[in-house]
Amino acid sequence: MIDYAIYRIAVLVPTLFAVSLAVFLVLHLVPGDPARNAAGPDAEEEDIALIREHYGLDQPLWTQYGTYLVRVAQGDLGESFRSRRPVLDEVLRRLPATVELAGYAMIFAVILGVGMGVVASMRPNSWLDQIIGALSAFGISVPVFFLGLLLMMVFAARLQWLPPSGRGTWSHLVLPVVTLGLPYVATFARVARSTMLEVLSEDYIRTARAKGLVQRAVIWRHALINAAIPLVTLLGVYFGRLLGGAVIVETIFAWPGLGRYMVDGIIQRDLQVVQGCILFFATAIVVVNLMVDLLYSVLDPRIARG
Amino acid sequence: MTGFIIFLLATRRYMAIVGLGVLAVFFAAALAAPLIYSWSAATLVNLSQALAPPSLTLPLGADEMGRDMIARLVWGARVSLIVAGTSVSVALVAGLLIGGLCGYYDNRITFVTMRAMDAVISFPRILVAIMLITILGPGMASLTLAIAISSVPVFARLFRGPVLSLKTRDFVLASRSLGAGDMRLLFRHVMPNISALIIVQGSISLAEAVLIASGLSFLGLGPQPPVPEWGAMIAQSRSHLMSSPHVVLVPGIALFLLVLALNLVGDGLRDFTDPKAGRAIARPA
Repeated sequence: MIDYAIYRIAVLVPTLFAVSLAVFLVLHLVPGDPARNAAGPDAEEEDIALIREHYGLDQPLWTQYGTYLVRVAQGDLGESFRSRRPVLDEVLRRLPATVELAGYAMIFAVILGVGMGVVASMRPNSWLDQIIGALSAFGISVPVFFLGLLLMMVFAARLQWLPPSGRGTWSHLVLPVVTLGLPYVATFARVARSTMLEVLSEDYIRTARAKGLVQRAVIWRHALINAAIPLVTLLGVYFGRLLGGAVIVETIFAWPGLGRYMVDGIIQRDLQVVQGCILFFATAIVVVNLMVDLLYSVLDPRIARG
Repeated sequence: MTGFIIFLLATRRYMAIVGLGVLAVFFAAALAAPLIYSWSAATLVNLSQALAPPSLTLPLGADEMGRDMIARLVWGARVSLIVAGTSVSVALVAGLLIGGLCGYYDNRITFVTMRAMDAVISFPRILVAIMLITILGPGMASLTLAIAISSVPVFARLFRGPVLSLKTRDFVLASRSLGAGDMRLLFRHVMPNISALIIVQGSISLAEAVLIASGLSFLGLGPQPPVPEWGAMIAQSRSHLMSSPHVVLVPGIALFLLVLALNLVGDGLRDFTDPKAGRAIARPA
């Protein structure tokens, strides 16, 4: 187990290295002169040359990557072409908002989704199962931005129960978390239902029933624990997708997080900001996937040995 | 197709039939768009009827620029289906080639290729697409390309597995012993056996492509105004949501119905092609 953990953490280093190289190279393929973009349309040639020199944009690509790596290792993600502020500061200032949003959305999706899936699996093809099935078809198909605007229209504008946008109290959290989490409630419900149905047909479930265990113990203690393994794998995959969805949800609800910062960076062609955000997202996803894999090997020790 | 409908009727999968019907309507609208409404009807500003509510002359009302919502809706169906259809087709071909070759040949190059595919898959597709659009600049063509590229690894990984197991099956070994070359084995004997998988995955991927395309367009990274893309229409009209809800509801509901229909048909196709689904038939007609 510990060997496996050390191996996985050691593999992390080249992975992050590759991620940084990919992000760096890809964003240097952007057409146009970054110095000219940063300076604006009316800038003098001398100013553009100064900017080019200041940011090292006149150096060969590999030198730029070298200095970039050294800077990133020192925690320097460069500074925004527009606001002139360090990207890392801006990222760290917005990070708690995104973590809060994505974290609560994940908790919401897991609890409600797995709960619905388990309930649906207990009586397959019953009316309850069919309602849950219809709800999850809805959740998978509705575009998050449309869902967000609908919820905003009903609960913020018409009923005035919740604030329409911004961040602060827990009531600000409700609409963005529900919007971001609902499609994943649907996905978790579908997966939980099908894995539970599989597990419930296993011999050890029949044994558990035969020795007289009540339904509640069979479902929640015997079956769900064994159905948990595929669900945990999904957690890693969906954490990344959730971050992707956060980009849209933050835009709708004026949520002051990383996603909105990145979209603004793209629209203003502020490459340092985009690069910093993508590197940050990528690192977060790689680290979360590692944690999920480790959790996975705790749940199923055969994986670490394999 | 007939076989599929009979299967759906026989197994009482009515939702998938409804999905097929909805899809047919959207396809017809997309195909007939230039015949029913001119491009200028969908794009020209006419402020005298700005935000007009639904009425007899404008059944779905007009948007904040006074453009007929039906004309924009119909042209929007064309835009969405072209973007999603093109990107999924391109990604399917590329994914089949990469997945097929990497499953068929087992060497260092294919190993590295598949590791690279795994690496890309671990990132959310929307972020990969955003990164690509940052390079390519916003627009319909780069949106299509970004979605296509971001789905290639998914297809490659999905198709590699079956190819890997099919290549050692007796019927493949038999034609190899008859002197068939690698390419003939791969494309004539192995690929046809994953056609069901290709069709099912294709229809589900279409739904995903429509969703991602509209999400990116909502962020302003897709076709630029005045092109009637549903996600972009919602983004541009969202400030009028309270006073004239139809400007957001019309494209939003259309988008939801299209994605729902694609998902329902995809589910139906999966049951139709999966032998575990009971009376299913192994190959779609």
